Amino acid sequence: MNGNYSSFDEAFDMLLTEAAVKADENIGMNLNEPAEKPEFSAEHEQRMARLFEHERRKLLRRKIIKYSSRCACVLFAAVIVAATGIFSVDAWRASFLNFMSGVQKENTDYNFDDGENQYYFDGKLGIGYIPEGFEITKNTQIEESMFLKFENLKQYFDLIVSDINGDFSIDTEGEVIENLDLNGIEAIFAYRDNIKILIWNDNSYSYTLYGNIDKNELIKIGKSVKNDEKYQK
Amino acid sequence: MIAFFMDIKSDDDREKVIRLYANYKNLMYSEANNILKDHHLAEDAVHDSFVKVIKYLHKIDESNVPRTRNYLVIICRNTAKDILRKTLPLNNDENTSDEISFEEAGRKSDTLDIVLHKESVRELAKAIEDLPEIYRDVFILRRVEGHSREEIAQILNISVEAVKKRLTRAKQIIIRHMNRREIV
Repeated sequence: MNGNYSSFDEAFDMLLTEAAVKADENIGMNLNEPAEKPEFSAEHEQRMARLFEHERRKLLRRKIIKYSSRCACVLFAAVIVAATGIFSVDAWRASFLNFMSGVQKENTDYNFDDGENQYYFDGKLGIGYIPEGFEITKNTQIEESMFLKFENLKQYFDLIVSDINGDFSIDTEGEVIENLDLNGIEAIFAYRDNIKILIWNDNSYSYTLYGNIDKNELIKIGKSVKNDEKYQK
Repeated sequence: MIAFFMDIKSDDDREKVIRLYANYKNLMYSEANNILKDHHLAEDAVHDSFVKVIKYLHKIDESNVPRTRNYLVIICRNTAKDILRKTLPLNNDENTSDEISFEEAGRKSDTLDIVLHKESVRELAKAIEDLPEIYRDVFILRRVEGHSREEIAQILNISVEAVKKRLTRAKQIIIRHMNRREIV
């Protein structure tokens, strides 16, 4: 519609459309069926039947695509909701990632900070308390022994877990030694220079926890160590 | 959620096409045979017409029999002309006796008087019915069936430019017709 299209042209156009509908119906009413019914060939009827069948298959394909698209949308929405739920809960997140990465076989570890407490769990060994700011920097397993190292900028602590039948000894010369209770287990605490050592066993494994961190922190870490069961916070 | 899946309508398009074929195949064949004068070509025209009909099935209101009838006949007639063009390539649409030159169609007239006359719709309808088929078909497909110019070009197997020209000429012929009938 250009700038010169007057309102009368518009009114005329509307009349034309109205008249066209009337004319169309008049023409249709005056169309007569042929006096003689034509006889269509068998080949033609087959061709028409194929055309209609093709249309049916096209409709079916369209339906399948429509349904599949809608199912895909619903599935996608469900995955998003499930993923949001799983990753919002630390325990679920850990379990999911452990499952995906095969952490129980490969000794992969995840260290999550829930804002209150960091912890370590590798499917067999769990450390329920890791002081803030510490990160695992070494994780070595040799036969039945495991060595873990945690560090921050200035401090560290190491945990050695060994088969109880193996030999392990430490030089306690010049160290302050005391006996402690660690979750009902008798533990030995030793201190020399700036290094604190905590040793205990649970009749399956022997544990040696040492580092230059505060004594109370070391004991807290020691008390949080669990083995051979899924870590429970 | 259920409504999300239940929104798929039970599509009976195939049944609709079969009904249209059953009800109008004879009429369409007759129209095509009048043009092609050949039984097999007329069958081809009916088949090819329904390929087009299927594409625009949603535009067909079966309950309006006269309109459906005319719509199918328009498609079939033009399909038949198209087949005729292919079999007789020199029979160019632009040179048929139905063609009216741009000059004969008349210059643009004042539409005011036509609009003001109370008998205009009836007379306009008559003018449209009297249009040569070459213009009437395009005019009805555009004005009544609401096809776009591109769709009309596809249905009639002509260029979009040809569609535009025919629509313009149809309107001019109608105005000239109205002026000659001394409505104004």
